Amino acid sequence: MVLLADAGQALDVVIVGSGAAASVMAALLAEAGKSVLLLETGAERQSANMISSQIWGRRMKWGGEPVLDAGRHSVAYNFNMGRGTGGSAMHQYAVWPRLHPADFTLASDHGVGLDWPLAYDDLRLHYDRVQQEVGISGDAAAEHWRPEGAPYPMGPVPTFPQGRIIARGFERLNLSTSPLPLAINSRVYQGRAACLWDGWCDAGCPIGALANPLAVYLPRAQQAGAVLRHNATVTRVLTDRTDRRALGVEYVQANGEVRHQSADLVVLAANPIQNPRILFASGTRRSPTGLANSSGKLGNYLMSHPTVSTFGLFVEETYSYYGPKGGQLLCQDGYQKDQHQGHAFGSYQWMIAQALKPNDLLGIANSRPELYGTKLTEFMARAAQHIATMATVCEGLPMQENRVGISAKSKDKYGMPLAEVTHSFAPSSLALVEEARQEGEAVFRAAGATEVWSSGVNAMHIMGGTVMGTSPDASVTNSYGQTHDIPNLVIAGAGLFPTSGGVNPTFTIHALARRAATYLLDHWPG
Amino acid sequence: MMTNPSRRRFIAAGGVGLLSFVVGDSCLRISPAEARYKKLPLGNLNATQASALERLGDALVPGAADSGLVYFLDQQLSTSTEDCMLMIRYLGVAPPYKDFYIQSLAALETACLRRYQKDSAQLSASQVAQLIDALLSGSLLDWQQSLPAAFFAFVLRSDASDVVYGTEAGFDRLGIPYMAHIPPPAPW
Repeated sequence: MVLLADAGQALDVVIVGSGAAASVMAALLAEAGKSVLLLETGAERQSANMISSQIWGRRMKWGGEPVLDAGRHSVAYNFNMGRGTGGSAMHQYAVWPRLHPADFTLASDHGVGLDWPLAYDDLRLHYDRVQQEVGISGDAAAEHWRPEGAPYPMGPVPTFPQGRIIARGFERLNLSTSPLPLAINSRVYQGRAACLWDGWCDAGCPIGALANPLAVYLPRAQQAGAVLRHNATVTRVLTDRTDRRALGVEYVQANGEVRHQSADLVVLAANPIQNPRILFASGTRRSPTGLANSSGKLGNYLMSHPTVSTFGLFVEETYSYYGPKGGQLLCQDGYQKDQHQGHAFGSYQWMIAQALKPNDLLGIANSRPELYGTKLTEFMARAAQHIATMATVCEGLPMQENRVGISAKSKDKYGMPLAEVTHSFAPSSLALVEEARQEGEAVFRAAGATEVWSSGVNAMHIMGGTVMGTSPDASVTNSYGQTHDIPNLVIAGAGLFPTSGGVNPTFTIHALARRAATYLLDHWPG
Repeated sequence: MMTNPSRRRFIAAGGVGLLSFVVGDSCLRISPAEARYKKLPLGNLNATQASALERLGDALVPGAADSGLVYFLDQQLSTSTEDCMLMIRYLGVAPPYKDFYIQSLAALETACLRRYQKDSAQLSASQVAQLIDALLSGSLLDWQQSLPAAFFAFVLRSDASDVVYGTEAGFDRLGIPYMAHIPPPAPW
């Protein structure tokens, strides 16, 4: 264990954020003997705060300074991002599929988007290790689309009536399904409780069955001596006179006091919008367009997954309140990027039979926003027993013009410019999600639904903005997240993704962070 | 509309659990439904705004008035952005959220006066239904707000759904189990 001195004394590592990537980095670096400080801008959350309620659960969503949103399709920042201990990963649905090998070679294979500076095989070991540490429930053999890797350490989640009803629609259309890989315990795992299948995942899982940062990596980090400081908002990365070496960070405490923390290694693991915002705000006379931005690509290639949800009413009772919020079954038959109708392009998957609650943005009532009065009352009474749903994750192509910048006019209470986001989905991504919508409705009709409808197109997850690559002229970091310009300034998290794939990003965030931490320990840049 | 509920009844209807209401020098921990029954003073909304919210909210989601929609909103508009439990916090509206509600309600009253020559609290049931149809379809011509009328209706309908359906009592009315790991502060 390394005893940590208070701010002002140089540390080995200062990490900005406390979410998925931050907690993995903190655990691995602290366990290797490094002194680690995590600075979290939000308040402290504990498992005891995870109240089972869609209303109370909103406190884990972003509640900090606004992000100014432009472009045709919002990235739904406040919905997708979190704040406080554990960051966005505290309200994740824990759907943890792997990226496919083809997701790493998009530009080479299809002439669009970007390539990753690493291949699937470079990440495979880390996927395997993380899945063993975290515990993933699933059935690797049944996922015939799954890239090579170790089988899951736990058997799959149970399939409840909702899942069985929808699955028969897939079967009748000759589409395949498998259990959904979930970072949720289907049995007691490494001392953590088994899931009770009550559908409160995104309100925060207080029993440790869902692998959020409070359940796995933050306790490990703290056990190894890492210190987590809350209400500590990083406003600047500090550099030497050349802007080629990071010296630490400047942060503001809740009482308004500004502090400097020196460290050999600075890890930005906030989120894909706050990381570039900090780098832009850290610009100096020598780096007027922002730190680590000699490529001019800082903030570029922001991505999200376009998604639609399919809903249906069935004669049978669906018991849609049972099960994980992320779903029970998976279908990746639509993952081949270039085998779609018209100009649709990319990969997509279905997360099938998601547990439903009556209220909130994705709840039963808002699935039919046009109903009100007695028609809504009648619908709710029927749907509570007979509704079923599933949702897509469709690939959003990386486009340079989708970007994060900072406002020239608006600042937060600390004088830091607000982030400005411009984002629109590519036409081929919108065509892909339309194809998925039609398929989803066909599946539900084949399953015997008496009524079928779909949501509009929404944005799920946020990625890119500080993309990794081989060329310092075309990317912000190398494959380990080290910025090309400043080797001891590392970025972690989904902001590194050069492509989004058609899967949820959290497993890949963990695997990348593990790979980076392992490398940095062997090649310490401090 | 429920007018004189027994204590047992308003707790059952009381969707959104115990909230703190400051009355004089006292801080009461009661449900929004109970606050409505006690006619506690509001901190952010005036009587006209409260009447409009209650009328429209109950027409959108029957039961919202008795479940204390107005008190839920009024109390939440006093919280910090970080602690706010209204759905609007993740709908891309810049805080303070009070401005959104107050300005939207003002736009609603202006539109009502022009369309019906009376304020929203005086509308008949059929006029309220007409008004909601116009809000949802975006055909309310006199809506003078940067955010669309349909968005305001969506937000208010979601708030009303929270207090009617998003609670242990609401789940119970729908016949589905709540299954809390950690129940909301009673009677959530």
